[in-house]
Amino acid sequence: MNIDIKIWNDFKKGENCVLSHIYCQHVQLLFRYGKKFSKNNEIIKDTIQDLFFDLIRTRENLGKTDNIRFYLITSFKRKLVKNLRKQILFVDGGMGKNIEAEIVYSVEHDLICKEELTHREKIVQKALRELSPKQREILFYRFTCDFEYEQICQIMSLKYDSARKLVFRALKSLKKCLVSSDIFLLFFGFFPKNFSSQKK
Amino acid sequence: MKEKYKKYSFEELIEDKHFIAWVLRGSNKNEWKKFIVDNPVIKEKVKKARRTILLLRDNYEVLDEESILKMGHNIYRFEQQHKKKVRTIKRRRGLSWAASVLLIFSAGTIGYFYLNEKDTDYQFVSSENVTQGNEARLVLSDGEEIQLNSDNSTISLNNENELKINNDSIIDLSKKENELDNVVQMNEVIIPYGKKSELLLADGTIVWLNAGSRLAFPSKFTKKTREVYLEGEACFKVVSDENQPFIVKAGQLEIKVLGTLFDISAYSSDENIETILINGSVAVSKPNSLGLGRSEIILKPYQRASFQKQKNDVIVSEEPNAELYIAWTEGWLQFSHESLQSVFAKLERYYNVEIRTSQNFLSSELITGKLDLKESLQDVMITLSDVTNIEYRINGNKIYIDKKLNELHMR
Repeated sequence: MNIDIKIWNDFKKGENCVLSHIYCQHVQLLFRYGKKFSKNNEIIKDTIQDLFFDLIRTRENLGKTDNIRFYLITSFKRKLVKNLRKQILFVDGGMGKNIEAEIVYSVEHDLICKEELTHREKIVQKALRELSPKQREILFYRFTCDFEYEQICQIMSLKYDSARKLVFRALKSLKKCLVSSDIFLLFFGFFPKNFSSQKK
Repeated sequence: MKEKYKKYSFEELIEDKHFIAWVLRGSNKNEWKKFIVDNPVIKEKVKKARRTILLLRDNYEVLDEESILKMGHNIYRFEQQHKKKVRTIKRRRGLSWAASVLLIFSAGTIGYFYLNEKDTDYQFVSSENVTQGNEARLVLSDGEEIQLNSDNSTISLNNENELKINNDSIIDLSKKENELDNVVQMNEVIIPYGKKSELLLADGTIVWLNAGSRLAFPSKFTKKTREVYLEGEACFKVVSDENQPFIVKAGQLEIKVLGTLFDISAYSSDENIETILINGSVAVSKPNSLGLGRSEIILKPYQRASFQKQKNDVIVSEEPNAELYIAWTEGWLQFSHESLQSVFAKLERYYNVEIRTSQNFLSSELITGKLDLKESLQDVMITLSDVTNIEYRINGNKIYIDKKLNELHMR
């Protein structure tokens, strides 16, 4: 039995502590996800709070889910986009750009901070730069959120085939740039010891 | 490890959830390591796939602890308020249903316990200790006893003189009609340790009666004041009526109310009678030392009046955590910097057990937090021993408490 179904049912029945369990389990991920769309921490926090208020209000009428994370991320995105639109309209004076996730990779972040890049580092940077926002978003759902393609398509309103194609292309270009030049040596620190010792 | 992975390509590995879970979250670490050692052909592919996934880790910020707590608190508050709202609606529905049943509940024949217009002190019917007897019961004004079978019973009365217990059993009291209207008949609810009850009085006032308590109340408030008598602990949500003040008499103390939410703890075994006001205003009055008249103290919200029975003295203090004192009405026991001894005393009442500490047991630990009283005693003791330095042993309805043995050697 899927544990999420049980937790969700307990929550709908109004059992104590379930809500705070769900909150504690997901608040960091929601914040991390929210930051991809906006730099404004207050809006993100307000939206998270709002999301949970709504859960409480509609508790008895909530639909079923066997994946709480997916349920929360989807409703959170919907709410956040709505709130950001409002802000763009009233604060930033209409004419806003499209709201889309902006995902920066740790490696990119580190490289930006560096003054001078080695040849290998430049190749990595270039390869990553070629990834489009959409590709990054799908990979985020895959890796960080552990979602299925069907779920990703639902969040991003994509067709299954196009989502697969986007990932396939991303991986292909990464493989080409990175594998050829033994660039991976760069990121030694990430790997467990047995791997590096097997090198030589 | 599944055989299929042997034939996986670089792309297939990256697309595989189990593979991702291992790389990013270390799931099944040993199995994967063994798999790679056993299948050296795949090693190179695994290495590349793994590095690609690691390369695509997003740069992110962590939300600070303070914001998490603050939001969590807001959400918790919202949930509590929402629950309350829902409950009020349900209660109203229950009431209108009761009204359609039309049962007459009125003053019975003159019992040996009644209150007349003169302010003689009311004597509780059951003179024995509340703790005796295991069943919660309702003693009607004619002396008839009705068992309240549930651990959390509800009794409701309304101004049409209708009485309902636990939303199901209904007692026909019409035969007990009484002609002497000038005598106010009192009914009594007796709640032993381990139980509690919720009452809706004739005027709409709600009383949550805690374990080991009893309350005497009339079936109809006909006097100039609405008077009830309390021994033990109760939380009152009084319906405002300036023409007919609500008065709780607890021992020598009188608490006069105009519409408010407050908690009174007046266990005869405790040295003090505590009155905690959440909102509205109440006047606490004690007899003057010479027995002539009474002196009155007005409480403001979030204040506590401690009446010291021995000294006949009232001390008023600020109580910013006043809500803690009524958490039990919602099935919680909440503490804020309370000593273990005081926590034990409360648990004894709730679960109707005796807690014995070992001879040299001394603890200066102060406890803050809350316990879910719907859980079994065993669960509550486990929780408590997790956060404190105690060990416990349950034997029948006695619990023996000792210090954790290894505690001295730690740190």
